[in-house]
Amino acid sequence: MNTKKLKIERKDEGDLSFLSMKGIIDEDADFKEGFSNLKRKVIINLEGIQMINSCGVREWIKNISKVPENYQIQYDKCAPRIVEQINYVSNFLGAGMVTSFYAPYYCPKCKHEVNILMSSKDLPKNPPFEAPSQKCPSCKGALEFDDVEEEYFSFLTKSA
Amino acid sequence: MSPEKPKKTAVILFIDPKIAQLTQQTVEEMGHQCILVKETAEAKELLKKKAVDLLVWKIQDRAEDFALFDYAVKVLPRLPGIAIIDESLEDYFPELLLRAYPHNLIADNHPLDYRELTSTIKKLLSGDIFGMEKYGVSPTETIHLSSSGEKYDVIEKVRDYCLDKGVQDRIVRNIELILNELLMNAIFDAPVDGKGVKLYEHTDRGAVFDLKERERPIVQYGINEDRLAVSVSDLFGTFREDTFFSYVHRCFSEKSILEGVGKGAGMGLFMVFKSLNQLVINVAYNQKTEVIALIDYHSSMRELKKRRHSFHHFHLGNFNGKGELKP
Repeated sequence: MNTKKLKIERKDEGDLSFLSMKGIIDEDADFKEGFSNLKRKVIINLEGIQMINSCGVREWIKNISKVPENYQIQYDKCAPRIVEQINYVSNFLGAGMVTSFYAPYYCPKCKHEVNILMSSKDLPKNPPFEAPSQKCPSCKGALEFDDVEEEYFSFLTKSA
Repeated sequence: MSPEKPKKTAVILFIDPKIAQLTQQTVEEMGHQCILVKETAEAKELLKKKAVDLLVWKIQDRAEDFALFDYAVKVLPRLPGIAIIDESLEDYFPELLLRAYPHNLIADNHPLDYRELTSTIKKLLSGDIFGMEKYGVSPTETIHLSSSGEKYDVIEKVRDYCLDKGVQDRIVRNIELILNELLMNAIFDAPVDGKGVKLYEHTDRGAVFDLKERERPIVQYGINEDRLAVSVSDLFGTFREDTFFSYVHRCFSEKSILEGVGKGAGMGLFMVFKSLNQLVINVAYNQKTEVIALIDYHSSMRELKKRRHSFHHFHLGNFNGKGELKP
C-alpha cells in the first residue's frame, strides 16, 4: 500500500491559486481538484515531493499542459527529484518557471545530506554553472555539492 | 563419466596488458582457449577460419572497430561480444543503433572494474547467466509478489533494509525508484498470453489485482562491502533485443523525452539507468527475464552520476524459440 500517496493542499486568494504538494507522484496521483478552475496566477510548492516515477511524470505532463499558456505559473521550493525531472523532460514546467529550489549537498564530516534552498534569480542563467559554497549547519565545515553542476543547474537557462 | 565439453575459443583484441592477462586467465581457468591478436586484420582472419565463441575488445578507433563488429556478426551471427568503452555509452549510440551489437558494454572508469569483466566472460562462456551472485552479492531475501498492490510494501521493506545498512538517503531513494519502475514493468508489461499478446499493457497502472502464479514478479536484494544489488524477475522472458536497443536509444539520445502525452515509452528504463552503476538484463526467451541493478553505494550521488555506466544484455535461445535455462 502506498502510504505516501500524493496530497495537494490548495488555497485560492484573489487572482492567486496556491498549491502545496506532498508525497509521491505516481500512477495514483490525482491532480483533478488541484488543477481545476485555477486562478490566473498559480504558485506550486513542490518541497514535499519525495519521489516521481515514470507514470507520475506522464500524469504531471498531462495535467500541466492543460493550464492555459497565458496563466502565470511559479514553481516554488522544488525538491531535488523535481529538479531532475525538469532537466530530463523539456516540457515538465509547462509555461511556468522555477523561482526557488533545493540543491543537494553533503557534509563529509558529519556524513549527512543537507538540501539548501536557493532562489533562481540569485544564480547565473548560463553555463558554466558552479554550486555556491555552503557550510554545514551542524559542524560549520564546508559542504560538498552532491550532484553534477552542469546537469543540475541546467534548468536555470529557462527560469526567472 | 560425463562426456568432456568442447573447448571454446575467445579472441581478445587490442587491450592493455592487464586486461589481456586477466581475460586470458579467466578463459583458461574455465578450460577454454584464448587467442590474443593485435590487429583488426588478424582478428578478421581468425573469425573467418575458426569457430570463435567470444570476442573481447576495447574500442579505440570507432570506424575500424565497428567495421570489425559488422564483419564478426556477418560471419558468426550469434557471436557474443564484450566491448570496453572509454566514453559515455550515449556517445556510441549512432553506431549501436545501426547494428544492435555488442550486447555487453563495460564502462572503463579508470580503473576498470575487473570483477565485472570476469563475471561477464564467465556468464557468456558458461551460459549460466542468472543471479546477482555473479556480481559478488548474495540475495538477503527473495520475495514473490502475489498482487499488484504489494509494490509499495516491497519497496518499503527494501528501503528499510538499505537504511539499516547505513546507505545514504539519496542512494536509497534511487533504489526505491529502480524497484518501482522494474516492478511496474514486470507486472504490467511482461505478461503475455500464448500468442504473445500483452495481457496488461492497457490496464491502469494503479489497478490492484491478484496475480496468477506465472505473473508473480520475484524481487531479490542484497548488499556486500561495496555494492548494493536489487533484481526483479518475471517468468515470461519477453524482453527482446530490439526493444532493449530502442529503449537505450531513448534513454540517451533524447534529452526531452516527453514532448507529448503518450510518448513516454522507455522512460522508466531511462530513470532506472540514470540511478545506477551497472544494469544487467538476463533473458531466457519465453521463460524468464531478470533485471539486476547494481550500485556502488559508498560513492556520492555526484560520483554516481559522473561515472560512465555499464550495460549488459545476456540472452539464451531465440525470441521465437525457447531459451535454455540453467538449473
